[in-house]
Amino acid sequence: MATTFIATNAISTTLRVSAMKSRAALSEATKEATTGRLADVGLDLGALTGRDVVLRAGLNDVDKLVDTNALVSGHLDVTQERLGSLIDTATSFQKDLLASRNSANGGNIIAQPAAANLQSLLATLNVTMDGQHLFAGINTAVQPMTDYAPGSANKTAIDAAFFAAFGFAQNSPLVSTITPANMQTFLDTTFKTEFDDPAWGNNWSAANDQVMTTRISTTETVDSSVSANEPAFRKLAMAYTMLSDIGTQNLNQSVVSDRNRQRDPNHRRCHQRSGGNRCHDWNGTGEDHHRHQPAQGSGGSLHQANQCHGSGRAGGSVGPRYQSAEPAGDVAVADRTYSAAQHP
Amino acid sequence: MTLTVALNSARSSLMATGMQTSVISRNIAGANQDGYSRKNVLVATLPGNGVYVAGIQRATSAGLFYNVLKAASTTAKQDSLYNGLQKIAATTVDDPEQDQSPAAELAKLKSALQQYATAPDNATLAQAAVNAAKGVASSLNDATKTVQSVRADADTDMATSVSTINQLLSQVDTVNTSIVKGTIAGSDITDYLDLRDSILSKLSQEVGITVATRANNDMVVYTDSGVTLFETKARAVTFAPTNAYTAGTTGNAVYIDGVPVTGAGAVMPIHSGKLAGLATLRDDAAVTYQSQLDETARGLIETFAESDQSGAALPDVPGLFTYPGAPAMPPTALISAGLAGTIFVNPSVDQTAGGNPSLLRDGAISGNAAYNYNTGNNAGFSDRLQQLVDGIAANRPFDPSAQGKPNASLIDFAGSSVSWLESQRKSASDEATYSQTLLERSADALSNVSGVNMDDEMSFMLQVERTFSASSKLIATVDGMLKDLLAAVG
Repeated sequence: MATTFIATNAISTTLRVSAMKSRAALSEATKEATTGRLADVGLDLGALTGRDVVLRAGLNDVDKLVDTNALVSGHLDVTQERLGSLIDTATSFQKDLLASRNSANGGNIIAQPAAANLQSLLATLNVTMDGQHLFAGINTAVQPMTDYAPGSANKTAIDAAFFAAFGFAQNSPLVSTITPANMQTFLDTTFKTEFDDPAWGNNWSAANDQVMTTRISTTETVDSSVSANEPAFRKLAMAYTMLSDIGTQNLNQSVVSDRNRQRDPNHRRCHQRSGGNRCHDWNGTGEDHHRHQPAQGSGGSLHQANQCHGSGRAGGSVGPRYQSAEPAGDVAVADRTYSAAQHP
Repeated sequence: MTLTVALNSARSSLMATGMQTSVISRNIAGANQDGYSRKNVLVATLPGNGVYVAGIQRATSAGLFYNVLKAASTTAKQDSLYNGLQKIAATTVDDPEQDQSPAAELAKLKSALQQYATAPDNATLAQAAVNAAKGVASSLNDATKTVQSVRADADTDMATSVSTINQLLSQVDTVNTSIVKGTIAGSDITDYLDLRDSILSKLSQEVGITVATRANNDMVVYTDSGVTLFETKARAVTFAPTNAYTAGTTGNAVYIDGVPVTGAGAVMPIHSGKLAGLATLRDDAAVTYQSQLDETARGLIETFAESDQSGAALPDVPGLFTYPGAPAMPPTALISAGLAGTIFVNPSVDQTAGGNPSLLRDGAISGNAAYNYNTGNNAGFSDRLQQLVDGIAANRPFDPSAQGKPNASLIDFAGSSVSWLESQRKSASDEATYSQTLLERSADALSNVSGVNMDDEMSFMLQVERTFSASSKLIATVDGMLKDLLAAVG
């Protein structure tokens, strides 16, 4: 009898308990079916819950990197576009320069666009995005370039240098008495110094040499801006200033187009400062620049500038190389403009 | 005279069936009552004189009953542990999708810093990063509060459990005395035995017990660790509750018969029952989790500490995250008890508290200019922010006694703390489910041995009814025969 005996209470208890369990399981299953997730993730995963949490943290991290990379990419696009327009301006100015070289009143013709281009260069370098000055290095809160206008530190310094060298101001009729040799000396020494440190930092630019750096992946940090202190910008400013504000209008034609002028070895140094970039050997021939015919030289520089630009794009899908190639292209343009102005 | 003997036998049969009917009706009444055991009337033959009721027996199985006690103790322990862990997990982790664990808050802070590092001149992003930092600090503060309130609740429940145990023991005392007296007097003690069993099963839910029966059904009760709870008289169970808990508080031990049975100094620690579960929660699980929170807080303070930039070799000081012990740094790679409860974001970076969020970029949050990283005062200075983002991802040592990863990044360590908590909860839940099933099966088996089957009782009643009517018929017949005999004589 004992083997088959079952208590009435046990029958009802078993039924009650199993009904209760089914009910609980049903409610859990309903929740899982509607949400598509475990009803109690922590209870089901146990020791693996930490991995869930850490993976979510990683996802969060990468999500944010995608966001910030888009932001940086926006900044780089603006920078790229501005630099592109600088190259265009410089290239077209170079054509004007070639055209004006042999005309009787060449200096006068070229002074006006040079002044305008200088203003445009300075305005470009002062561009802001979201309140950041893109070309100010890490000193993004301060406008990097000082306007070139009477009363500004840069204009005052150039005026003083000119006066110190020749004993009269740029607008004096006596400008026509300046000899090519004197002008050469002035350009190579006093004038050039105005665009080197510390004069550049004091009179022209408030930008910081240190550029913005951005984390673009969990492990990789890259430079993500260009400083207005790059040699390319200095050369470009120097060329525009020279052609607009050292008495170009009144200069003797022999000064404006001195065919026999030797190239200044400093230029080569400038190219080399652009660091491992092939652009300094413009035509890939290794020939000395002054031996080129001007037209070839000009064409070569434009060609090379574009090539640099292109190779910069191709070589660096991200940040720094892509950016550093830009000024290198400008070095070519700026330098060539400078020497083209002095070649006959 | 044989007819008189027949009458006497029939009478004794009537008396026995009367007793049987009474027992059947008791069985039917108790059929659906937990802990009621089926009673049997022991009917013995009186040679030459019919039958008599020798006593009432109850159906029981001591072995199955002890299994039920044991399973009930284990279930109660795991249940109370699970409930406490569940409370902590629901507040500090919940569904990982909710992103409310300290690890998730840290990830948010890292993202906010990354965003700020992209535009270090943006004060709005700076304040967003500071807000994320406040989120981290308050998640640690809240977690600490929860953990300590769970400990305080456990302490209160222990006090309740102790008073229940004392109450049950005094009931055992009363019932046991009745049983011993009844056994000696030979009266029906089966209902008292049932009562004592049901008191014992209640007691086993509070604390794991073992029992032994001595002469005259006298019972001795020990805890599962061997401390005497009841022997002739109830032993005192004492506990002094602690009302407020902080991370450094150690709760008082429970004493049974003067012997400490819970806590680190327990001589004979109890292993099961609600009391053991609560003590484990209060003195062990919650304390370990608290030390993991404290280690996370310490790691945060270290990650965001500022080092001297002036070259004067000044010591490091807490930066964005600070605590009441600043400017000293908390000792490295050692648990600072309660740090997670006191960590806060330095008000000097909090715009809502009149601070300057840009200090996050520049340094010198502590107020000393020697710790300024951005000496050029550049708005786009991002080195310090990158350093902080790297710092969150960098591996650092943690005290191994916290039972998290001993060498990991902040987020990984906080993640391992989540793992630890959930694995504890899962194992408590699994154990509870297992012992619950065991309890159900044991109770089922015991019920089948000692319980009442209504159909069986009914058929038995029919049998008794037959006997009763036969005996009455017999009496009527003897009565008729005696009448006839007397009439013939008369």
